[in-house]
Amino acid sequence: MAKKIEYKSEGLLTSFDYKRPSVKFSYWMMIAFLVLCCCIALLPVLWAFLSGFKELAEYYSQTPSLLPESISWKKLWDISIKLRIGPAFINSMILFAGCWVGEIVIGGLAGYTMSRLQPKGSKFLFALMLWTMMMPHTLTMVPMFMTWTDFPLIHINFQNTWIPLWTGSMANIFNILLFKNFFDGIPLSYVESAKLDGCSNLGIFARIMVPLSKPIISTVTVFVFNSTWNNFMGPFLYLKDADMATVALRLYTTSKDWTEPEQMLAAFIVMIPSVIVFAICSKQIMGNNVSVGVKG
Amino acid sequence: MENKTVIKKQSKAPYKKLGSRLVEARNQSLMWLLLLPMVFTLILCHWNPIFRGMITSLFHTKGFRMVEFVGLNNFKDVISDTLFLKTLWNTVLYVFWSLLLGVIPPLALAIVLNEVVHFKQGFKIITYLPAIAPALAASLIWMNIFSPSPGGLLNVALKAMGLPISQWLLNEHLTIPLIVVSMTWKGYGVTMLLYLSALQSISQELYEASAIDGAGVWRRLFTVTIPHLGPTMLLFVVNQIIGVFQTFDQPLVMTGGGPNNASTTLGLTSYNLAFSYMQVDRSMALGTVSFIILLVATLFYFKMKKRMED
Amino acid sequence: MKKTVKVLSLILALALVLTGCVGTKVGQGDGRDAEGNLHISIGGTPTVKNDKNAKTYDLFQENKAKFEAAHPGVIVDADGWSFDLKNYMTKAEGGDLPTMYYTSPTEVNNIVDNGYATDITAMVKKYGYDKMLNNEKYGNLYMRDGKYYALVKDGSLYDMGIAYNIDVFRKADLLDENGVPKFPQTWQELAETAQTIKEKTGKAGLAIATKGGQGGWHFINIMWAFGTEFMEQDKDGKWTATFASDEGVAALQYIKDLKWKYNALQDELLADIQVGGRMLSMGDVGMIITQENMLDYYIEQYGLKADNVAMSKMPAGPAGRFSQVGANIWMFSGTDEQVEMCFEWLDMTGQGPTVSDETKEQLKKSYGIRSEKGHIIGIRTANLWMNEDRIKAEQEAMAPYISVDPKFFEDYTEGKGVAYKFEPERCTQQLYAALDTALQEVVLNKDADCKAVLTKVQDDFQKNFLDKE
Repeated sequence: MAKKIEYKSEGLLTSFDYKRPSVKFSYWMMIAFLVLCCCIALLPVLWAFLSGFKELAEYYSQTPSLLPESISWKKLWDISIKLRIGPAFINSMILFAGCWVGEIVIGGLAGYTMSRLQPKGSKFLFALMLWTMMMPHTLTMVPMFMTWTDFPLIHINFQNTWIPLWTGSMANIFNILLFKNFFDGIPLSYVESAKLDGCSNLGIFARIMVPLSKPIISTVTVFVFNSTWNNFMGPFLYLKDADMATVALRLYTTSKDWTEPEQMLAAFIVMIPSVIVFAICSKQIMGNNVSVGVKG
Repeated sequence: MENKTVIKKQSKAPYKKLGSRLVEARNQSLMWLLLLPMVFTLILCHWNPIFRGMITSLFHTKGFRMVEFVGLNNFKDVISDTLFLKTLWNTVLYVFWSLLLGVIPPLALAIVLNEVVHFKQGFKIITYLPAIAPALAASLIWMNIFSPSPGGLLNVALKAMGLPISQWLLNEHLTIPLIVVSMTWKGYGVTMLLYLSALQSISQELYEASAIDGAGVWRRLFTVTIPHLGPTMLLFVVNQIIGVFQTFDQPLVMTGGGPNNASTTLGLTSYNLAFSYMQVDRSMALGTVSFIILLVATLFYFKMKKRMED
Repeated sequence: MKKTVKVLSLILALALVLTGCVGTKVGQGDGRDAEGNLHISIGGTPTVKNDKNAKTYDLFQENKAKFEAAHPGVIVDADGWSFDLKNYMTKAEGGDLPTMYYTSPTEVNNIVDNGYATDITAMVKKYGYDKMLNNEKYGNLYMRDGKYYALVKDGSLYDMGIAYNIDVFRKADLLDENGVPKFPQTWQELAETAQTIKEKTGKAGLAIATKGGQGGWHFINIMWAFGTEFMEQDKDGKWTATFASDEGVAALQYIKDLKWKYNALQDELLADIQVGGRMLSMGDVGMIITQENMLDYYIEQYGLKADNVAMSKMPAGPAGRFSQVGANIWMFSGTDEQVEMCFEWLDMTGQGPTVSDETKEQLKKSYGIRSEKGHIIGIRTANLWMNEDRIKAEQEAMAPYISVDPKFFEDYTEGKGVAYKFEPERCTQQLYAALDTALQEVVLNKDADCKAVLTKVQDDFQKNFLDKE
């Protein structure tokens, strides 16, 4: 195990540094720090999850116990059956797919255009976007809903379509600025050499920028998945047709008559896909440094 | 910086011939075509509702219907509110604490996580868990941790150490930092992820060059790593300030703005005005006021930055 | 630069066009679909069947089929939305409210003032409801300016009282020879009882609400008992707040004493009514201020046992006994045609004043469902409908399902000597929130000066709300 660090060739500290004992010691300090962070992150979540197994009196007790009196896996199984997520899962995936395209393709392209191509006026657009973030958003839900239930000029009610939810994701300013930021940070030398090889702007985007931006794409994918997977208010307002219910909405409508411990277990069951998606994407976020990507 | 100037030179090169002007115009419109879907949704989903709101703030309203033009009356009303200054100060405190807790710790975590080679994936997933934990779980956890009863988790810990128990959220001096702690616990995973992905775009050659110059670990950290994360940090800080300025749900759930308005924010007041009291006009006016405050703050920031650069 | 200006102005123009084109529409058009069927939707009805709501779901589907057969061309939709301040306005402005939904009487002012409520006066008269209603006594719940805007759900009213956890009282040795808690007759006695509970059992004696406006909502009952007047109107129609009077200060001092003299309140002092209900259900507190229908909610949510709870009327203060009256009420959003069908629906499902075999059957079914949920049945305090046969039908329907011993609730249901009141006239929600802060200050700060605290709250309330109406 300890051998691993002797071959480390990437990042701030490399095998060269680890020849010094003080650095080696600080490596193990870092591991200790991470273990501490993991405790802070994991223990409360674990405790909340186990609380789901508690009886009502135990759950609301004024002196909360650390562990439930009994952990019955059957309870977990029963609840996951009762949730009947089936078709809702597909709906959630449709929602996610649309939002993903909106945020990654449209947003990513917009970020790239603003960072690299810089058409006239794009700087001003950047400033406008920053200001837009500062504007009051508390009440935007109401006029947005009015817009979608009676769309200007064409007077169409977009309820029970995916369009309002998909469209909303295309204008996630923070993620667009993230993309722009990321592209800003990519060294120019890569682009220059590609240009010399006669690559067009789009070619540069597809062949160099996209492979290089795997970390940021994965990061935003995680964000998109989490927000769409847990988005309950949007589907609640726009998807009134029971056949279109997403998992978050299904969780709400099914479990609102349940007791809180049961709701807690249900919420944790529904969270599993988020963990899986994160596990897959986070592999992309780390472990392939820029230099590696370009050598290929 | 260098890359931008090059591209600019290309695009602003003095083309004289009509043909190349046409090419230039075509290029420009093609580029804007790429931005078009984004700009369209920007207009539809941001400016449309926001402009409506700002116009609304000049009227007396019934629901969202404008009934009578009242000029700046609504603004006068919200600014002359006896709690306005206190609420503004609270909001500033929220921003202060959330920057203190929300910027540096995730940065340290991301840098360390990037360096570690053992159990990397495991560490990553576990530290990110709070960000995906169900909202229901998060509220249960923090309500129990900060419970003022002797059975509250923190109080149990204090008692075990032989210290007197505390009121936690009920203490008006602690309530804002504690709410920020719970917000940070739920939010730091996202920040960490941002830093991690930014760390990935640091070229190894930069480290190598720096090491050859004889830079030690700390110097490399401060001359290569941190500067490279600068833009991401700046973006995050801006986003954090803006987000915290509008925050309302955590104080709403945890304290309802209490005790004695010690944790009320501009966002919460605006929310209450609109949804609890159904006074859309004043709520919009307050939102616009907080926008103007943010705008002035950023303009001031850019001016300072420019002066320092000169 | 010129181009930037052009682009910008184009964008602005587009935004303005969009802004200008969104018209407001309250209500849902004519409520007919492409085939010409008239739709009505009932808020708060389950759209998905699950193990807990199966009976309710089935009953709704059965009624729907029956109703649609009797009224061809009308379709009844279930709407899962039930009143929620967070998205009420969104739904109302988007024309997406159910045709009929229930809400609490504290929201009626705002809903009517903002023009979201459909005037149902014509239908109330057409169906003869006006003859069955006691407007003098209860009109405040459903009428504004002589017009009807709402109906009381199930015709059932509630008022505030004190709920007791019998088990805690037993442990504190506070039961009389019949096993009924010794109900405190005055607020002073209540404080002493609460102190006894704390001393003998270590549990809180009384749990009060202090946030979310609910603290103020409960506290005004105590303020009334001490003789407080909340506001008065001068000749020009201007309202002045008057609650920081000696009586109001005495009421606040009473709360302060509960905490600092009798040490009888709960630890969790930033609490909404849920906290009190949870503690009562868990046996962590002896008494709470509540209404009868909330007990059913606590039974479902926190596992409160129907045979472990008793209720009394509000204790007396120097000025007498006062209790705020409320009800679950139906409000409407739609055309007259739709509202008429809603009245038909209410009639058929036994929620109107008329009595038929059908309504008797419906009443029996709904009591059956409530009985299965463990609700408290048999202690209805007041009935909105004045006609005797309706009241009798209801009593017959509930008779087989009575779940509690009347001796635990007699004091509450009889309500001898209680003066029933409605909420203060203006800016009620804001008043409740303002009183919240006063409560928080005196229960958290031992050195708080009640007079100064209440005067400041009154000044703020006057300046921020009443002066700006």
